[in-house]
Amino acid sequence: MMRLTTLLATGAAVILTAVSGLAQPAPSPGTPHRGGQVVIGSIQEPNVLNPLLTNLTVSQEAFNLVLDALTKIDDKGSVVPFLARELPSVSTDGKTYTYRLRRDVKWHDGRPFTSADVVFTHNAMMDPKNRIIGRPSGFLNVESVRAPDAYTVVFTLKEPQAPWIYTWTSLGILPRHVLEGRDLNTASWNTAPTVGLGPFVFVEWVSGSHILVRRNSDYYLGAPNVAVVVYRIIPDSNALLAAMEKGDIDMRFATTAEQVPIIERNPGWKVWRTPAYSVFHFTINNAHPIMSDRRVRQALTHALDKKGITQTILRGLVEPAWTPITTPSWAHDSAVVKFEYDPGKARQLLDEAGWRLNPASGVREKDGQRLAFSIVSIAGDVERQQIVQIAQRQWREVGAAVDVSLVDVGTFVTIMQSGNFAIGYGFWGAGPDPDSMLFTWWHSKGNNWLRLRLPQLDALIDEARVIQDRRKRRDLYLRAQKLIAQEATNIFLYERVFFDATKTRINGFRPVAGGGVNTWNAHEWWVGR
Amino acid sequence: MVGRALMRRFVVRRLLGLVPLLFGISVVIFSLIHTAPGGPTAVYALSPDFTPQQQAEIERSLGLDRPLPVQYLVWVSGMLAGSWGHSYKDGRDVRDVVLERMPATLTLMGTAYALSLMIAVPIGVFTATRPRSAARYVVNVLTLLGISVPTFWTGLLAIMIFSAKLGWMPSGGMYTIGAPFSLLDRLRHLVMPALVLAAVNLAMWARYVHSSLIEVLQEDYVRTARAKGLAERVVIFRHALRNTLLVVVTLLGLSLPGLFSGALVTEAIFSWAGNGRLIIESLLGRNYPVLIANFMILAVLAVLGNLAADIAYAFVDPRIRVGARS
Repeated sequence: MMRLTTLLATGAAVILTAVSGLAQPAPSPGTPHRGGQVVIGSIQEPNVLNPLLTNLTVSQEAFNLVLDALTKIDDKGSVVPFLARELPSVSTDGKTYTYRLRRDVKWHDGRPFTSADVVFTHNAMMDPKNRIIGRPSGFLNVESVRAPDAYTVVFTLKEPQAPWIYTWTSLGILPRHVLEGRDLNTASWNTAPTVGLGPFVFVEWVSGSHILVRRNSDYYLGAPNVAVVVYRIIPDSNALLAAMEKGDIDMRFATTAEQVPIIERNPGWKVWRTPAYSVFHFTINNAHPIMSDRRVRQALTHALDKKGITQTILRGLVEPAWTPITTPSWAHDSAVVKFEYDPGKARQLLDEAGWRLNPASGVREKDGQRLAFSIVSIAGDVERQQIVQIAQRQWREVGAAVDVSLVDVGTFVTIMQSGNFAIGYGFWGAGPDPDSMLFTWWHSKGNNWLRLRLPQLDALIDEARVIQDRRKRRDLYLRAQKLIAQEATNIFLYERVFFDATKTRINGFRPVAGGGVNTWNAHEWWVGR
Repeated sequence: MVGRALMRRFVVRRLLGLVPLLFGISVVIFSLIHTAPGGPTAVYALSPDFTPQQQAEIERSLGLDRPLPVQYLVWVSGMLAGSWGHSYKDGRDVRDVVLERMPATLTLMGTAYALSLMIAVPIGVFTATRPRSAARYVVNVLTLLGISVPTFWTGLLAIMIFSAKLGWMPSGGMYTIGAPFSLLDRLRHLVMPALVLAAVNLAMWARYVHSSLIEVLQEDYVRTARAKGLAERVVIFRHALRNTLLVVVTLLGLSLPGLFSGALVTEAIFSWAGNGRLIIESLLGRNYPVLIANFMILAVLAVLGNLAADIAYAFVDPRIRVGARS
């Protein structure tokens, strides 16, 4: 019974491929097999499939199946051309980026893809009427965009910006002929993008259940191997695990460290470990009355046993972090100052800073004020909760009175933006270019949850931003990281590692470390027997 | 039996009372959901490229920067004109967003209620009429278990045993995705979540039927019936049970909103695309238009459920006469 329904599930297209497959000699293990379906299991549901109206990873994973981008970030962190024939040519002053487009690309309704679609997407991104969420910061640096012919787009920047090349990566192009003149905020295309450019064609989105796409036989890089991809929503992580065990799911991205050993016990599954460009850390409000003293920040770093936390809660699957630019990056600095776990040193620094222990209460005091603060984090994530509790205990041991406050994501972000906190806990993600991490979070013109004012750091980040020479940029970023570590602007805990699980019979999966999405090469995936 | 005109007046009066009640409820709900910190765009703010300025612009464009009373008036006038607004999450019409979940929720909840009812009444009768039998204790323990064991546990256990280990049942979802419609396939997906949900209600309802029947069995008219020499079966099923059904009717009436709101935990565990999950997701995402639409429908159903129970009373219970004075 089950077999029959599964067979029916994939529809006539699969049956046809299966039949034609029988006529051919059996493929060797390395030759892609055509047909079959891949089910991606996800806890979260995308909000929309319009790249302009979302920045959720789940949405990006799903829309990259049906839409396509000028360039994408591959599994090595490099920018590779897709709708663009090659990487853009950059003028010597670093201010003009010229994209030459492929001429063999058609929308799913058969209309040709041209430079007008790219210009339309750019303009839609900048239109104040649209409720834009997914706008890469590079858009704000564009002075003008023009299309000298149907297959060329030229962007002129206000200022040179080395990382600008990442602006059009994994950013789905909108179909001008479908969306022009419509209200982009409420267009039905947002949740039913039947006209796209991607390797798969949108079939249906059943809200709360799944998104189903089928192979685009006319895909310009060749028809995908897989006939059908289903993006299935299973909101409970334990139920998702059971569905993986049962075999109803073929892929699950970004699972927790806790589930890694459980999944690996099953010989039918493989867990890919991809070190990411993001870092879990304690966000310190550097303008907070207690935290504005550098010695307090350094003392709290000394008091935290990073190694112990990564070995226990994270099962030794990740490494402690000392800088925001993680190991996979070309700008990573392994030689920054490390305030290693040393509670004695922490106590000494707090004494120096004037926080004297009140033996009666066990809490330090200074000018009648107690060394009391709370850690804010996001509720509902056991891993984070345990980590925050350990930090609470270890900071109490050196004489701080620490509270923990767990809130939902929305509240967390509001608190971080308001500056009304002492310490937060979470992760900051970034793309392959160090600028995306450092400018956004450490520059005083960025989001600045740290409430930081370090003109010296701003200057380093600004300078590295405009030059193209990678070696010079690297030097500047090393200096920036040394400054960040010395100032203890944050307490870095560990470098994030993505744990992506796939069935062993899924081939061609190449997970990305950040800045891109795991579905970037879905057209190359194939299902083994 | 019941005076028709009286009944009609009763119903009309109750329905008219609904209007001010709903306005009151809407004011309360509207102010409550807006007092929660955070806004609909906060969930996107973890991404570095989404700036607080952008966030503020979007909230202004959604009208969230206006004073709350103004926002309320905008919403009410829209609602009265038949427009439910657009979902903050995806820009879709709120009516579509809410109503498309109805079939899934109705199927699951309806099946679960029907199952519980069909099993709970016989169990209640059984335990009430055999007060000292060993079987009664077994049933009591089982029903108590049904009440106290949470559905996320029974649900997961069921999935792990019958789906992951034995492979008899699908692990979740409402049907085999991509397959043509098949009633059998739908039923296979419905069985586990419906049973898990039914277990909870069943246990509770069986206890209600049990205690109510025991009470009724002490009544004078039951003693009279027995004295007349009627068979015990007739006494229980014709005389006592009918009055016990009052409890069941009340329970059913009060369950009406549940038919719409669905079951949050069970829906999540079995990845059932019902309204319970929509409500929770809208709550977490501060999707105010979808939330308030859901809550308003729930309020209407709660009131209607109570009304239906009242009306049904009049039919079931010979002692109740609408509008009659003794």
